[in-house]
Amino acid sequence: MDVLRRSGAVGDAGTAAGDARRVTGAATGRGRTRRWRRVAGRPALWLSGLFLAAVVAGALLAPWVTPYADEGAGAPNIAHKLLAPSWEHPLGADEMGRDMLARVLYGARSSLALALLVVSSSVVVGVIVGLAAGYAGGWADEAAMRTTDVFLAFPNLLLAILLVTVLGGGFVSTVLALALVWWPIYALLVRGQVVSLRSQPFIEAARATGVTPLGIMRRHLLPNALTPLLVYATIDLGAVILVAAGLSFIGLGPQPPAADWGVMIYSGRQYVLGGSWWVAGVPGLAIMLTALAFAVLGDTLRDAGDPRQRG
Amino acid sequence: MLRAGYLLRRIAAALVVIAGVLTLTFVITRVLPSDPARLVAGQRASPEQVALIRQELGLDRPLSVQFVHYLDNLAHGDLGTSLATGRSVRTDLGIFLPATLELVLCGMALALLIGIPAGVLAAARERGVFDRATGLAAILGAAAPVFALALLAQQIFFNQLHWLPLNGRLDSDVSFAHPVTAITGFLLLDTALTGNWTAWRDALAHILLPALVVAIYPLSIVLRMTRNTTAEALRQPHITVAHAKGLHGRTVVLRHALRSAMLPVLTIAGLTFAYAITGTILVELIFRWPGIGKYVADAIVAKDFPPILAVTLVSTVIFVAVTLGVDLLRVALDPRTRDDGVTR
Repeated sequence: MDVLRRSGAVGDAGTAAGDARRVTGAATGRGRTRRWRRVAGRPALWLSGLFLAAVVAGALLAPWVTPYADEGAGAPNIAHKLLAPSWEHPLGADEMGRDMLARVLYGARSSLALALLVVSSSVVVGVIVGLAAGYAGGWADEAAMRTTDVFLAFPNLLLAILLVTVLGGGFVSTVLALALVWWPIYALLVRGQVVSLRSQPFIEAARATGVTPLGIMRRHLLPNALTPLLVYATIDLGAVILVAAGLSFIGLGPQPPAADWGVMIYSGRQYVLGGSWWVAGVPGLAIMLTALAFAVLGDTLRDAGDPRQRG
Repeated sequence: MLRAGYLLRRIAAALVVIAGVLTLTFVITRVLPSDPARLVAGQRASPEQVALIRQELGLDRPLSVQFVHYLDNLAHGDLGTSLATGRSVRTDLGIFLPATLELVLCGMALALLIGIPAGVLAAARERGVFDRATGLAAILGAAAPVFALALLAQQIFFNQLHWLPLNGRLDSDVSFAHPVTAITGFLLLDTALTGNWTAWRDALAHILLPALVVAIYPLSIVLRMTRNTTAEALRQPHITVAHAKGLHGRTVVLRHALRSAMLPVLTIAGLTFAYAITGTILVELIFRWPGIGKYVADAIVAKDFPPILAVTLVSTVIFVAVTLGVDLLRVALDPRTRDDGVTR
C-alpha cells in the first residue's frame, strides 16, 4: 500500500491524472482504500509478505544473524560434511560442511540483488520505449513493436544463455543478459496503456493547453501505467530468480564457492540420491517459496488495483 | 474459414520476426563480442586456428558483407562445427533434435491429458475440495524450479520407490539385446514400427519421469486456464438455458461449457510450448537425456559456441512456427478471434 502511495499514484484527485483514472474506470482514493481492505485479510498475502520480509531481512543482515558467516561466504568445514538438520544446523550442512542456513541466506543476497537490478533496469528501458512508441505512433511505434516481437520470439532462457556466453560469465553480464531478455514485456505493457489513453479527452486538453509531450508522458500517461507495471514487476522478481537459478545451474552464473541457489542445487544434486536431500532441497525450496511469494504479492496488487473485482 | 489474405498476412508477420531473429543473433554473435573468431574457435584454439576462423567468417570484411555471408551459410544449413563432438552442428542436431521433440511432445501431451480434465472437474464444483487442491498444486507447480522438480522426481520414483529408471533414454542392456532401427529418431515410434516391444517398454519407462517434469509447468497453466474459462462459460446465459431444458449436468459441462473454453486453452498450450523447450534444457541435463538441451548444456561447459547459437536459432524458429500454427488453428476454429480488429 505504501508503495502505491509514495509513487504518487494515489491522492491526486482533481488533477488530470485523477480524471483519467475516473475516465478509464480506475481507482479514486476511497475506492482504492476499500479494495485494499478487501484483499488485506487474505492469509496467503500475509504468509508471503512475512516470508519475503524474513528473506530480505535475513539477506541484508546475513553476516550478523548467522554464527556461520564465514561458511556462508564459502569457507569449508569438512568436519561437518553433510550433517543432517539439527539444533546446531537447522537446515543441515552441505558437502563442504558449511551451514545450509548461512549458505541459503548468502545465496538470497545475490538472488535478490540480481532480480531487483534486472527488473528495475527492464522497467526503465521498457517504460522509455513504451511511452515513446505509444505516444509517437506511426513508424516509430511499428519499429519498436516489431523489435519487441523479435525479442519475445526467443525462449527466454536460451537468449539469456547466448548473451551470457558472449558477454562472459559473472554477475554484471548476467544482469545485462536478463535485462535484455526482460524489457520487451514492459515496453508492450506501457505502450498498450498509452495507446488506450492517447485519444482520451483529458490528454487532448492537456496538449491544447500547451503541455509538452514529455510533460504529458510524465504527468498523465506514466501514472496511469504504474499499477500494472508494479503488478508485473513484482511477479517478475520471482520469475527472474527462477531463470537466473536455471542459468547458474548450468554453470553460467556465479562460480563456487560463491553462495548461489542455482549453484547450490547443482553441486548438491549428487548427494541427494545418497539421502542428503537438504543439500539440494533447501535451496530448491528457497527458490520456489520466494518465486511463489512474489507471485502471490503481485496477484494481490492486481486484485487491489482492479476495480472490476468485487469481494 | 480462413481467408487467404489473413493467412498471408500472418505468415508475412512470422517471416518478419524470423528476419529480426537472424539479425539479432548476428549482432549478438558478430558485433557484440570483442573477438568473434575466438568465440567460435574456443578457448584452447591456437592463434593459427583463430586466424583461420577469422578468415572463414570474413571478419576483416565490412559488416554488411559479413551479414550476407552469415545468412548464406544459414540458408545452406551450415551452422558451424561443434568443437566437442567434432561433427558439423547440423549432423548433431539431426541426432539430438528428435530426442528433445519426443520429450517435449510427450510432456505437452501429459499436460493436456491431465490438465484439461482436471480443470473441467475443478470448474464443475467451483470452490470445492478438488478445485482448491488443484488450485494450490497449480500455483506450486508454476513456481517450482524445474531442475529441483527433476531431482525430486528422481529421488521419489527411482531412489525410494524403484519404479522408474534414473536417467538416460534406453537401458544399455536393452539397446544391445534389442537394437533399435532408427527411422524417425522418436524411440517410441521407431520401436513400435519395428515391433520391438521390449525396447518400446524400456523407452516408455525412461521417458515417463522427464516428460512428467517437463509437463509440470504447462500442466499448471493449462489446468488453471481450463478451470477459469470453463467456470466463466458455465455462468453464461446459454448454460442456464441448457440447465432449464433439463439437460444432464455432465452433458452441460462437457458439451457446452468445455467447448467454448477450449480456444483460450489452445492458445495457452501453444505459448507454454516455448517454456517446455526452455525447461527441457535443465531436465535433459539432469536426466542425461540425449537431446538438444543436454547438447547446449555440454557445449556451455566445453565453451563450444556454435551449438549454442544453433540450438537458440532452431528453438526460436520452432517456437515462431508453433505460435503461428496455433494462431491459424484458433482463427480457423473461431473466426471472431482474428486479432486484426475485424469482427465478423
